[in-house]
Amino acid sequence: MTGATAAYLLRRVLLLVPLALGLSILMFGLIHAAPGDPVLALLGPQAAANPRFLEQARANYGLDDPLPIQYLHWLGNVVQGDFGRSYAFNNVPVLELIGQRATATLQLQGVALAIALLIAVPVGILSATRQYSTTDNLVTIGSFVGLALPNFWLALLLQIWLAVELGWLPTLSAGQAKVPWPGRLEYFVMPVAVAALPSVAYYARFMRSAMLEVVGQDYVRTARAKGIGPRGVLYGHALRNALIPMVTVIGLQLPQILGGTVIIEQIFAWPGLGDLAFQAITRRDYPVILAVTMISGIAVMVASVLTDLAYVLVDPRVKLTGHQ
Amino acid sequence: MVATAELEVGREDVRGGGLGRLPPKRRFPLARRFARNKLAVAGLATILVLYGAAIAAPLIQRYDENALSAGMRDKPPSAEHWLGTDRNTRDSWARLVVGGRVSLAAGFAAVAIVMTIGITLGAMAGFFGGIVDQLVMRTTDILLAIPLILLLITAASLFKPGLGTTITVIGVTSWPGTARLVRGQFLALKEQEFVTAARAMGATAPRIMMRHLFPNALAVIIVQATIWLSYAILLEASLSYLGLGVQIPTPSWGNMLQDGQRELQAGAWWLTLFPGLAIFLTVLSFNLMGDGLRDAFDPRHGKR
Repeated sequence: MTGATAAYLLRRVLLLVPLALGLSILMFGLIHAAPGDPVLALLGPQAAANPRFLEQARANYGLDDPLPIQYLHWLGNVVQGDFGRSYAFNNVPVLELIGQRATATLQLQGVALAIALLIAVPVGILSATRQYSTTDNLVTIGSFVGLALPNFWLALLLQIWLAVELGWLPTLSAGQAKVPWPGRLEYFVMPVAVAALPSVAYYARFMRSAMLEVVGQDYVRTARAKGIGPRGVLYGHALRNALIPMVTVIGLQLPQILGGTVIIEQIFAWPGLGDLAFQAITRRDYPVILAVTMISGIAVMVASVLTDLAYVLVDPRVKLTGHQ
Repeated sequence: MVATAELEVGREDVRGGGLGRLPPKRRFPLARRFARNKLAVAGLATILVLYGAAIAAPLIQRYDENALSAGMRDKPPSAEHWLGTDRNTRDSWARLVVGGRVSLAAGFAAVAIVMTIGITLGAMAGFFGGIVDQLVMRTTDILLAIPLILLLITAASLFKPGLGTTITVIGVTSWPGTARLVRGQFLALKEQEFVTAARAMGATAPRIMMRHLFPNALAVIIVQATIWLSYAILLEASLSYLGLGVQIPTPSWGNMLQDGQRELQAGAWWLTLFPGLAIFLTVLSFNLMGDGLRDAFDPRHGKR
């Protein structure tokens, strides 16, 4: 790693602090600008009849302070690791709530990512080694189709077909936590398929072009010239190097995965983070919205820095200076 | 892209000089290269059909999209109702065609906003650099860190849901990618000799940006706009499906899917299949077309 690259990465790390602050100010401003009263949403319409009671509740939550004071108060607590308590979910501490929900999302997305890679990597290699063959053309068309399929439409079609018409699988996954293990797998089939499909398309396409790029490099030609057989070149030289950009692209897909999970969890009633975020926004649960967006936003920013770092570590030729 | 433009000019010069060593220049090189990509042409044709149907909606919809017909709840496709009827006894074909009008127009309007903001901010960041660049880039860092759909839902909850809100919200949250792309183009272009020459001749900053840099970045911008047309239509559908976008009774492909989901247990598959198919075809076609355009603009790039 050159000095300039190290300095660049250090600057990226230091930048995380103002970026996280900017993100928090943006989100704080955005959700407080939204019409709708969290206290009313919380206590129900009967409470509206009693203005003094409402005011008391607002004061309890600190919602009667001016906005900048509320922000600083929130920020002070967050720095100490306290994201407050949820308004809409039984006053549970926000971090506890997120912990419960994150497990469900990680299970769903983790399985989906693993399956997507298990399919996409071999398909991408196959496609690249037989460039312009029928297989390759089918893979190219298939990946266009996979990327264009709206995930909620696919989910609804699967529900109609596999759950309603054939009755093979449960339509919704809300009760899955109570079902013991191998049986719980039933609930995973459709959500995992829907979450994995666009990733398969995306990664296969990416793997294909990464392979093609590597196959044209000098060291691959050298390996061939040394008399290494096609398999040896493919797995010993080309594949290992083609996997490097693959690793980084997975890191950069994090926002898409988090975004996709919102809709998938909504359709299948999957009790994860995406569902929590959606409920929190529609029910004006300020502490939960802020915590979910801050945690996912910081995760995305950190992932992007780590991706850059990984790139430099695996390929010493890469120089990062910020002018890209 | 830049090189292409210069190459074409070079050919003209040579021919003008009467050397005549190069083969005669073919007309419409861009269209020819595009036409060679069959998938891209199929995409363009599909888009023309879809937009044609949207424009001709009043002529082909057969029923009013809000007309009720007694006793026709959730009827499967038939000769009278090509795509069946929904839970409110309305004709699905009419709603699909009019919904297409709404969805396609919403996509177009949203992309217009995305491109206007993205190009303006990206151009200024790339051209002026310094503090302007820092401000724009750090804003994109922040916006890109939040999953777009979460940002959309949050922003959509600020206003009364509806068509206008949907378009605005997609437009003002989705520009960062375009801004970065345009900034990159402007950064690379402004170091080229023709810009130095223009500066030396006393051209003002706006003139250099509009007359010299923008035309050279246009190819990349057109491809980006094509791809974003597909994203915007998907985003509109997602928002409307979640109930935060276009509101019933105005039909859109997204809210038709939401409406159809209520009849899912009744097995009314036609309410889900057709609106989704329309979204899928539109998105696929724009992607294929964008890919074809990219290759046509940049022949050296070849078939990837």
